[in-house]
Amino acid sequence: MYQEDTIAAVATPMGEGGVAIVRVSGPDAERIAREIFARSGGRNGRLRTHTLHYGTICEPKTGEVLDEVLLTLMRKPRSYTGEDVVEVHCHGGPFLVRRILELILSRGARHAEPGEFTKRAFLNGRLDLAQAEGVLDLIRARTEKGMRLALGQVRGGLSRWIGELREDLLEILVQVEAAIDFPEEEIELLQRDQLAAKTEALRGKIAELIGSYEWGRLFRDGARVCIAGKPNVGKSSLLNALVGEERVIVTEVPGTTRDVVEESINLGGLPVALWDTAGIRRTDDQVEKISVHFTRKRIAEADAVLAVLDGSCPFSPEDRAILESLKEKKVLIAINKSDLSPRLDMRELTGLGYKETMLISAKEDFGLDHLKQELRSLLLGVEIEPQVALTNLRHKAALERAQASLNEALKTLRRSLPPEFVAVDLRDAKEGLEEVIGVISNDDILKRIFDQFCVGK
Amino acid sequence: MIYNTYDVIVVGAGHAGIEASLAASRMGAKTLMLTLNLDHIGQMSCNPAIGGIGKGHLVKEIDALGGEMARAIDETGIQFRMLNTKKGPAVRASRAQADKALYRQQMKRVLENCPNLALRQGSVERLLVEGGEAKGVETQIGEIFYGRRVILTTGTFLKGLIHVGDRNYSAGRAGDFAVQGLSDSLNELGFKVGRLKTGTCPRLDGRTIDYARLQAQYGDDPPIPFSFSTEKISQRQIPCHITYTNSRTHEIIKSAIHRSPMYSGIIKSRGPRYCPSIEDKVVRFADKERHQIFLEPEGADTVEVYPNGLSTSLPLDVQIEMVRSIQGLERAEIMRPGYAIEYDYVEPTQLYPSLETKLIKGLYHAGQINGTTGYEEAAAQGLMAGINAVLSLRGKEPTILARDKAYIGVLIDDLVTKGTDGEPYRMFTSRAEYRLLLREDNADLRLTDLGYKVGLATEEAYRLSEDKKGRVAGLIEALENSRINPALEINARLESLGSAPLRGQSSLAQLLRRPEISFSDLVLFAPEFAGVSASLGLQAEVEIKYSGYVQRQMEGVKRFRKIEAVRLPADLDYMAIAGLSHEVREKLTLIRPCTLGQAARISGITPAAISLLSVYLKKQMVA
Ligand SMILES: Nc1nc2c(ncn2[C@@H]2O[C@H](COP(=O)(O)OP(=O)(O)O)[C@@H](O)[C@H]2O)c(=O)[nH]1
Ligand SMILES: [Mg+2]
Repeated sequence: MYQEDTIAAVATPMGEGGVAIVRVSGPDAERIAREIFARSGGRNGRLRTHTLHYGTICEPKTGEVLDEVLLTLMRKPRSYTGEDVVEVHCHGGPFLVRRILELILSRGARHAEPGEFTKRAFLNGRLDLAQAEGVLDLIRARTEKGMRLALGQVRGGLSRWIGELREDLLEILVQVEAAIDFPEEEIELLQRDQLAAKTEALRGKIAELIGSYEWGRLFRDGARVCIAGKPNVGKSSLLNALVGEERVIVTEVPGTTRDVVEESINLGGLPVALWDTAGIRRTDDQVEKISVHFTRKRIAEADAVLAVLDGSCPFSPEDRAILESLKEKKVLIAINKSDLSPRLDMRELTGLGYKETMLISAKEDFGLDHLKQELRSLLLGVEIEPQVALTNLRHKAALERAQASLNEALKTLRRSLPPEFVAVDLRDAKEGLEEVIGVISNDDILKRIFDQFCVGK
Repeated sequence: MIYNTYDVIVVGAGHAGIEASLAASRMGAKTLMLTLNLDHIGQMSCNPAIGGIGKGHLVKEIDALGGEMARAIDETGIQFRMLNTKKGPAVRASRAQADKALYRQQMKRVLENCPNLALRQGSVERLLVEGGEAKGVETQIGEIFYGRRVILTTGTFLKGLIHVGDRNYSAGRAGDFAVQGLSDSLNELGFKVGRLKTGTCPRLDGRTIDYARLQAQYGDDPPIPFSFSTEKISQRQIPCHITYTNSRTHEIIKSAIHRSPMYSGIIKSRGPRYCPSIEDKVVRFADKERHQIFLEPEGADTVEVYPNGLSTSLPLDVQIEMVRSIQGLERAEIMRPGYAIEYDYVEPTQLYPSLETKLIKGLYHAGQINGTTGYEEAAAQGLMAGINAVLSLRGKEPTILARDKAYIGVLIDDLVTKGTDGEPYRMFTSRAEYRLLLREDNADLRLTDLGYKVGLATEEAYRLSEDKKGRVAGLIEALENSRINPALEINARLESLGSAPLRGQSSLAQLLRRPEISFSDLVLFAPEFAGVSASLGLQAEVEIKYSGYVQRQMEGVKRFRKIEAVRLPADLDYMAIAGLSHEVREKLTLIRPCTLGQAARISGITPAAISLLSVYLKKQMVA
């Protein structure tokens, strides 16, 4: 009979930290552990599960001791993957870790593919789909906040939340289904307006969750902010000031920055990629033309634009052209060089519909903290942290489907169509929710009907 | 002693056995029906009624396929009622009270007049198997019957054990012997045999019921028949009566609850939650002040009355006291006590969707042996087992109804894919994904051609249904094309129907899309449609009025068929598919689903496992 094979990999980031963990999962995990691990005190009975054992890793052929380690065995099914799992906690030198891993591989394990432990955990029912995806997000997460969101998902935050929404939905659906299948039982059923109110409330919750996607995505993938403005207004200087290091060449000759330069900053946990671009102006210089083209492309891709104006110069037609081209974007206007005497007419800006502007000086490091705060809230919209956030596009699409179905259900209820039509919409919505967590079952409805109503003769 | 050799042997003459025997013999197979008691063919062990929501649907489907149940109840029904009339056409369902004795007689007459069919009394105690194939059966007295296909439809008879209070005795149902050896024989052959429980009500003497104090419930007038081939119900119709339990009834039950075998621990198996005993209802729904009881006559020619809602296994003295606490039943005499019954069933996941067992070739199981309840569920399975036994004799592919095609398909797929989950299985419309498509009114259009193809539905029924399909299409077109103008008298009529007046020209189809307008209302506006039959009009109305929803369900069906079309080879080695968890592999190996769709419906099979499986299949095809 074919069995799942045994896989192994280093579970901690390579080359970092004082301690590394090598993880082994599969039917041979325990055998391999017994072959390469000598417990201190020379004891060699059966290894107790879920216990830390102290001892050494030895090359069985030569008897060479590789490292002093802590080892745990977690017998199935109470382990991360649901299989027998052995974890070797060894010292973190990259060379040593490699040797221990190679020793394990030489005893019959296979090197795990990226995400394979998680995949097994999922397939063995230790994680649901949303949790498994959370782990993969966790591996990719860029900042601590992104990590916390992903972690929340792994711990089942999202699954639990969706589970609650599904409960709400089932509560509505059960009323409808019971009315269809048990008309003779004296069930007080189908107060249409009550059902509609519950459906409406559920739809609101789902909409909120969908809204959190943007939030979750920004934390997970990072936000992209493009600094735009005509040449020489101080874009590169601003980037340097925000990053806090000299990264970009700053010159007095307009048009110095021709490539797009990217720097990462962290806005209160929110990872932001800042793009410094070539200034936008009409030009005959071929190279600069290409740069300008790239700049426009970057602006289109950015989540928000930081538009820089030079406060020491009068407002120019180029400034106007730039600001007008940003109509569709989230824009924050920074008036730079405010250390110099102001010559920019603010009324020009209000005329264009930009009421809020910020006075800054890249050179004198003035107004930059405030700018960061404003940029953060511009990107995130609300500042209130959602309880759970969607970080995955598949989840969002499924929830949008659920939301659309609930809209249909409300229409059906308003049209006073009989319950079996409402049920079509509600069941669609249910499938949408279940797509996220991956449970599909019709039996739940019947179970609930029998629990809730005294039906049957 | 060796008797004749048959093509098909049917063990049992309940609702499953009847349909199986008739289907097999009508399809031309030499068939033997074996039963414990030839006087009890087609006995209704529980309440005297056929149909109901989900169940009426099954009966209509049986009829369209060429089965007998619908015609028999049309002949012998004493009250017909359409349920869910205030709801849409998809969930309207027929139900009828049967005259139990007449129903039995009717079925026996049909069986006795069926060519190719032999009837024999005998208790089958052992299955004859050779080289993994069913060869025949042996009875209690050593008779041996050889058959190339064997269909077991043994109901609650396998090791049936009846409980009343703390007393119990072996019986197939009250008044009939149980069968002791057969389930051991099945067990020895390797089948997983389990135990289920169900129950029934005491029967009351109608002469001791005070009907004057009770509310009568009459059937529909005129009664609407079940069978597409019945024109009119002409026998006399009889009302039922309604009464209620009260707080005193509940007190009596509660104070005696420790004497119920369900609560004292004598019965360990779980009963069906949708068919709860009165003691269950009183305990679980303690704050409900009263429970409804329907007094259903057991026939036109008997005084026995079935108090539907009073299923119980309490001791007889409690039963009497409880019954007499109810309004109108103060002086009622019990003629037969209510009881609970435990019986063996064979876990239906051991069957292919053809109802043939995976373990023994040529052996089919149908009805309560598969863990279902209900006459209709049993009959549906019997019919399909009969059809498939004969098809397999002829080397043909079995007829498997898909979930989007029939409730029978939903029923059998649920059974063979998910099993019973410890509780008898009953049909509900909520079990069907495509409820709007599986209606009683279109069962003929869905299934008659299939029934005709296998040789059961008559030529005439086939012609009629094909003709109806064409006429529905024509009618829809006509309704789309006939227009009416917002004339004064038209708007006045609309107003009288509670519908908004027309502002401009409109087609009749547009008018029909309004929820408050039905096809019969259209005649007011377009007298040329007055001659159209009600059933034709209903088809057109459904398709026009609910086209959006029907369309959506059809799209669901398309997706469903795609995954259903992916066939899984019978010899697929699930153990060799990398990435599947052990549990998933074991489940797939056990159930051996025929299609990817069926695999996805097995409980515990994750969507991820299904994608792995489909990737594996694709790789196999390339290789
Ligand atoms: N006085 C003053 N000069 C600035 C400020 N920011 C930038 N500059 C100067 O403006 C010139 C152009 O700056 P740069 O960052 O290269 O502009 P870019 O073309 O928009 O990237 C440089 O000489 C900077 O030193 C500021 O806040 N105040
Ligand atoms: Mg620059």
